Amino acid sequence: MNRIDAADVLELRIAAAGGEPGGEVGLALRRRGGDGAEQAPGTRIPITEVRRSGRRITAGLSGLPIADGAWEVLWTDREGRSGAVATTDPGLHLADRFAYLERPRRRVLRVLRDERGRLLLRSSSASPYAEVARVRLDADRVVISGVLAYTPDPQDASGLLIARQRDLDGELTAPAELDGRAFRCELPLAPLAAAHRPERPHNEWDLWLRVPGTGEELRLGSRADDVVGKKRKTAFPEAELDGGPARVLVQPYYTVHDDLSLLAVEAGSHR
Amino acid sequence: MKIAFVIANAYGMGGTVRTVYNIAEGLAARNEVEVVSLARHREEPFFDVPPGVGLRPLADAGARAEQAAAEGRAPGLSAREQRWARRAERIIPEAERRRNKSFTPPAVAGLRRYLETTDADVVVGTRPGINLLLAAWAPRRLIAVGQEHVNLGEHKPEVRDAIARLYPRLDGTTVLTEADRRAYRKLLGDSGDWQAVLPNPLPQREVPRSTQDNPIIAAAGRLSPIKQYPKLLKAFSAVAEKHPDWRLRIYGSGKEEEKLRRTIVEQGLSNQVHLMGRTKDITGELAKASLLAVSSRVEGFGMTIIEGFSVGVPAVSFDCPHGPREIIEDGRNGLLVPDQDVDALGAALLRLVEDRPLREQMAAEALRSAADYGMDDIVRRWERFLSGRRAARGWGSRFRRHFPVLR
Repeated sequence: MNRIDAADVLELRIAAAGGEPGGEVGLALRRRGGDGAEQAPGTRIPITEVRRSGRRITAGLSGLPIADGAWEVLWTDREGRSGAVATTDPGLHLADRFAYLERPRRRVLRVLRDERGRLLLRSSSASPYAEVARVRLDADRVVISGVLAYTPDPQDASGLLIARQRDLDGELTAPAELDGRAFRCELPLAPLAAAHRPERPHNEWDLWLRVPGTGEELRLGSRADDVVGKKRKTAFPEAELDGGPARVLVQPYYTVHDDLSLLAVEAGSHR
Repeated sequence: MKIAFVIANAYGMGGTVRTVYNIAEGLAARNEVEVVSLARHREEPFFDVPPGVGLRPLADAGARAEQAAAEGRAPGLSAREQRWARRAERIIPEAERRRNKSFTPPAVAGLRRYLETTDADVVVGTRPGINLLLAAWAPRRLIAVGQEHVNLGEHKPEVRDAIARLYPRLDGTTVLTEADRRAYRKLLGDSGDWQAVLPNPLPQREVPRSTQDNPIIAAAGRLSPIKQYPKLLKAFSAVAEKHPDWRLRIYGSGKEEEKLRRTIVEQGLSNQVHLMGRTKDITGELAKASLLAVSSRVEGFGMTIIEGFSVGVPAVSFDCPHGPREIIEDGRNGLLVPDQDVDALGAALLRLVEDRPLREQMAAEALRSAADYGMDDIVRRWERFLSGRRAARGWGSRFRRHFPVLR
């Protein structure tokens, strides 16, 4: 078993009869090639805060300069030997991933297991955002709920949903309710259909949440789980609305960055 | 012992290729193993050829063949080879030649030449067309074995007729399930040790282990009508409604994708179903789940169920022919529900979603069951079977000497 808690402490449970070195054991990270980041492949970062009690090892990672990309987790011993840490953990604990959203942070660390069974650490820069849990499309509105991610706790019980027409000037807003870190908002679709600009075949509306006390605006998206590329992996319904001269079809979708947007097209046109 | 597996196209990415490479790797520990490919349509095979296993292509195919012809690198067939190609057409039923395009004149002539010159002790065919050619052409010194990856009932009648006529000339045959063995017994009578049930083994590598923590149900296999994923979506909606945190992940790609998207929307499952596409690390993905669901009309073997077991994921399946009921023991390592009963499938999924202790108990049993499909065991069974066939010098090879067909 291995996991990372919300304080960026890596916890490992080692197998009873594993071939890993006994006694004093250290851990280090080694940069994997291929991601083109500023640290060269092979760069090593020793982990200084390692504690072992029985089969449980904890390693504090919060202060380490871990650049974006994939890192192998290595065993090290006093003689300077080292080796990859093998794991049977599948590398996904959804409950931990959601707990990890609850603190402000700019860097996200995740443990995973590669195809050959080695323990990897993936580091990525992150901005606060609004993690989408559910999207419900009704005939005249879209209802979205989720939780705030990587923000301080909100000061207020109300926020604002903002829909911005991509590359155009349309902007629509709707109130958002907050309950602790959970949010819920309803965006009526009639104004969106009325603002449709037929000269642009695809009218994308990008969704943002403004919450007092959390700083910047939060983009809506789905990134807490391990499903990357939801654009092709999910299927949403569409609603048909009267957009003045033409009928307008509106459909929620995930962008190539797994952000949530709405797509509006004229009925009968090709997507 | 030197063993040659003959595959239609060892450069492709089908399930047969994957499982043959797998058993070839296992057998290569104590034997010399070679994979012979009738066709070769690309430079490198899609799957890595296992270490210690040889790969021998017999003929170019597709664009590669066209290019070779354009560059004058495709030698014409001799009159003798052309005769072989014509004979092969009479040995292999048209339905089989339509289904698999690898039986080109250069390929079958190449196989004939290979059979006459190889120093292998055993040649194993891996689909009916190849098995039929082995039955007709394998010299007596070779032990010719037909491996079947598809159940007899799934073959076209003319293919079954050819099997009934020619397979007895083989030295032995292998099938994946007891159910298929019963079907062969009906067709050919009791053949004793001539036919063995040899399931596909699990690849020999370290796999992860499900923690049973994640609210995820997985399903895997081509997005094709036979997998009946719309039925699974309907069954899953029983779970989805009561447990909004649970997700269904379907691994695979195929022609049914658009239809599935529509069904996901109709069933109101947009937030809870992901079409994951293909993955190279299926056990790694299955281990993230807590349950595996199978909604097939027919499941020839059920490799996914065994892969799920190997990472501690119990299965819930229709009691459909042929594989599931031979792998899943209802109530022990999973649940079998009446065939095609969608409500029962939904209820069984819901039961395990809501009963974590039962799920964990079944996961432990699933791990134990997976041991039956371990590489070591299956390789030993293969070796015993092949030595037995060599020792018997069965009537198959005598048949081939005394009654040559279309040689």
